[in-house]
Amino acid sequence: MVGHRMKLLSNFGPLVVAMILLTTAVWWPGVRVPTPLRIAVGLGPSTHSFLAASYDHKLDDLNLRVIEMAWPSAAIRAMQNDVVDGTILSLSEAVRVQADGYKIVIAGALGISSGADAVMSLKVKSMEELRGKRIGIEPRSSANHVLAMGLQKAGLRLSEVELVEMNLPETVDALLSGEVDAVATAEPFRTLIEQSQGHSLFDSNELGTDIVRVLVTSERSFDERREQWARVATERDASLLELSPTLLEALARREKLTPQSLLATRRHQTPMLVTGPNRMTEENLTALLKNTAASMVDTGQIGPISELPQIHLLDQEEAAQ
Amino acid sequence: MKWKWMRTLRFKLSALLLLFGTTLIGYGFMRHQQQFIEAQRQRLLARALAEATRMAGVAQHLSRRGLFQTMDLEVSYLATDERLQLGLICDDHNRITSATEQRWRGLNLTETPLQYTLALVEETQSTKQGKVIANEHTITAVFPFLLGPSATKPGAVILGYAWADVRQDAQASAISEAVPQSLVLLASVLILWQMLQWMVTRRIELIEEQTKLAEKGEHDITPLPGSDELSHLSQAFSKTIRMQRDLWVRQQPLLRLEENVRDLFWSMKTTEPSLLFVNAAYESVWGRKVEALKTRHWDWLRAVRPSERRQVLRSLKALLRGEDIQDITLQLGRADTPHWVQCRSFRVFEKDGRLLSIAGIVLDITATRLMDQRLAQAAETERLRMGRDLHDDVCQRLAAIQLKCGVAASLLAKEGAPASEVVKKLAEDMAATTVLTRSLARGLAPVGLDTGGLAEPLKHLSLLLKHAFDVNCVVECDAPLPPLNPEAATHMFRIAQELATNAAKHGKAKHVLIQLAIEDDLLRMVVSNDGSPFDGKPEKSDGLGLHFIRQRVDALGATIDFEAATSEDDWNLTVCEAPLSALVTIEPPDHPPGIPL
Repeated sequence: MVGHRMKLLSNFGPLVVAMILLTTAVWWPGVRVPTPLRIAVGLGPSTHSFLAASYDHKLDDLNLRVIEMAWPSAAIRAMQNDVVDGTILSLSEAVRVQADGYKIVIAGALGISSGADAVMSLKVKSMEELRGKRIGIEPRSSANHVLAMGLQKAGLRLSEVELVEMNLPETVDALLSGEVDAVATAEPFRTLIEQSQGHSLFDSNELGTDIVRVLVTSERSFDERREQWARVATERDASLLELSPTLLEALARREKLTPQSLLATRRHQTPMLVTGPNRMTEENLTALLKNTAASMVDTGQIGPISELPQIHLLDQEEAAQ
Repeated sequence: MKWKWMRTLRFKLSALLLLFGTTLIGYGFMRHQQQFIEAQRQRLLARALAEATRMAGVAQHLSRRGLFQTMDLEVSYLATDERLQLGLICDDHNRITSATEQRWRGLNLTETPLQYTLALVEETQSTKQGKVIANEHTITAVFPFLLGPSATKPGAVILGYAWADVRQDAQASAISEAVPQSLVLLASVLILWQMLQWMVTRRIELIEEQTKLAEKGEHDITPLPGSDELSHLSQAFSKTIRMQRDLWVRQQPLLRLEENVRDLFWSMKTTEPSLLFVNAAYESVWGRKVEALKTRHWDWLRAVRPSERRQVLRSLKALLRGEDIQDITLQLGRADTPHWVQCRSFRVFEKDGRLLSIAGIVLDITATRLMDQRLAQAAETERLRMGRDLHDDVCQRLAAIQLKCGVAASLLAKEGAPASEVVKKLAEDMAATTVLTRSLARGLAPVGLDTGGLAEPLKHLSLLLKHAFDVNCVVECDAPLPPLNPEAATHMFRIAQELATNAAKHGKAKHVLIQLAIEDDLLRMVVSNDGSPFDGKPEKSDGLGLHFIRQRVDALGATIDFEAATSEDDWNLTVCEAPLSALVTIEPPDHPPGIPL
């Protein structure tokens, strides 16, 4: 019996091994040139931590590529077209992306707007005066959500004002040139308008809910590169605490601010750290997400939404481990 | 045996394929890397040119319209290119107005990582011609454009691409290509290994088994089926075995004949005189052991007397030179009894005509030869007896008659009888007859042969020729001959006598010359005559006289050659050469002594 088995092995063993090798060769994956992890980063205090980590070469081993885009809608467009793997959005912006049918995952909570999003004007004194006025907005930005909520609080509806669509960086020039009576904008443009004698009519501090800026990834990228995203979510926290003068100057230049002004913008946003009292849990964020989505539906910004973005706060998971 | 499998054809072929394939894959690996790097380089150059050109046009347009935020956005899109290290737009003072990393905004070009492009920026702004330059680590594109609402100030788009890591990508790509190739190669080697096992090794093992069966005597061997080379080999082998069997069957009668025949068969290589084959009669005919031939190839030559070995070797050389048949008669040097053999040697050819071997038949002619000797001795005895009778009786009687005739002639002369002259003439004739008869008697019973002398009998032979045939016969001898044994002396004399008498009787010769000389270890006797040339080949003649000459020559172990007279030389020559060793051996005379003069 043993002899028979040995004979079979001797006769067909090499062929079986050859078939395995051939099958392996056929299914051998093609060239895998490592692609960088691409993150679209806009302006404002919520981006500082990433940029600081990147400028400080703390993420070099991650093969991270930071693509700096000037306004949120460009970053969303880039992500929806798979030009980038992730970006930084507010919860309301994330809900809009999900509502458009593009599946995303919230991988980290970066900060809570403490006035970073605001309705600004030069001449108009209150939200109630905005009836019939021209208001510059970027429709998909969180500032639009702030405007909607502010108008609602003032007893107005969006249809009672004239909305002028523009990109966030254009809101400053549009307001200062008198093209519009007010703008719904966000940092660093709020600070720039304030430096030109503008003032806030309504900001995120007056909302019944928080505007949280989060790290958003496409669902595909999250599944494929979860470990890298975890590193990004964790590393940016340390960078946030250690903002050297050099980094401060670099960040100020890119936002066309002075270092002092940059620090002013940072006061309009409460950073969310990985650990400590300022950390955001998944439960809290889920509740905020639901509230934000509900208020957006209430104010007519979006239609009914069946599925909210997934939340996997990788920085928290890393800290827990 | 350890590592035996490494010497198998299967392993060598598989290893050869593996080596060859590995070489090809290695070569392909290097080629792939080089081609990948070059392709990437060309692609990046084209991309840098296209993007910088496009961006310069866009920047000029947006600058003219004052849309700097849009310019920022356009520049940011450049950053989606993974190879782009940094993209900058600078104004006429080399101040950065937009950048893919906006932290460089507001700084001078010399403060950025692309500071090395400053000279190139100034060159392109002055020539208004964009440029793409490549070095080992970077590819840089600098394209100028006109800045401001009136488009008067020079600006520049600077794009820096990194491609140092393209080598790593090339290596990864080459490995990605080489790994499946290596797997396919290994698989091919394994398949080849197994195919060789099935198609070659196993079948060779079957052929080995067939060989072993054939060695055991099995002749009904089933060949391998198929029509490939191994099948052909097996089929040819099987056919050869069957043919061998058929040959064996046909050989059996011949082998039985070879075992039972009394004559010796032999065969010899053409390259050396060692025997390939002798039959069982070798020992009885040749008197040597067959076994001795296995260790001493030349052992057969020992049976030949030293004096005849040269003749034997000369005969073999003649065959090798191209003679078809050689006939020689030898007296073998056996100690017990005289032993004569007659050898006929001939050449054996291949089918294509090439010489294969030399073979021969050896007949034992001892009995015949002894009979001939006895006959010769009897004849010689009879000659002697007749000579003595002639001498002692007839000659005496003739002498008495001669005396009586003389007396009668004297008496008749005194009486004055006319018959006295006739009687006197009769007495003279009787005297001549007496001399002739005495010469004949001396010819039949020569004096001196019994002591080995040859000169004296030949002298009497010359007298006989003179008296009997009126032939002038001269005997020349360069030096004194050593005493020969009586038998040999008799043979030599009879040979000379037969040749001279034949010349006188049948050749009508007037002169006969008998020359004796010793050359080396040979006694050379030349009998010349000026008679009519020999008719045909005397050595092949069936005449009784020449038959007896050949018997005597053979008995002496001598040779004899005939040269007929020609137009240039009108003398017939007969040369007889006998080895001295056969002549001078003193043996007791076994025949009656000759007649004294």
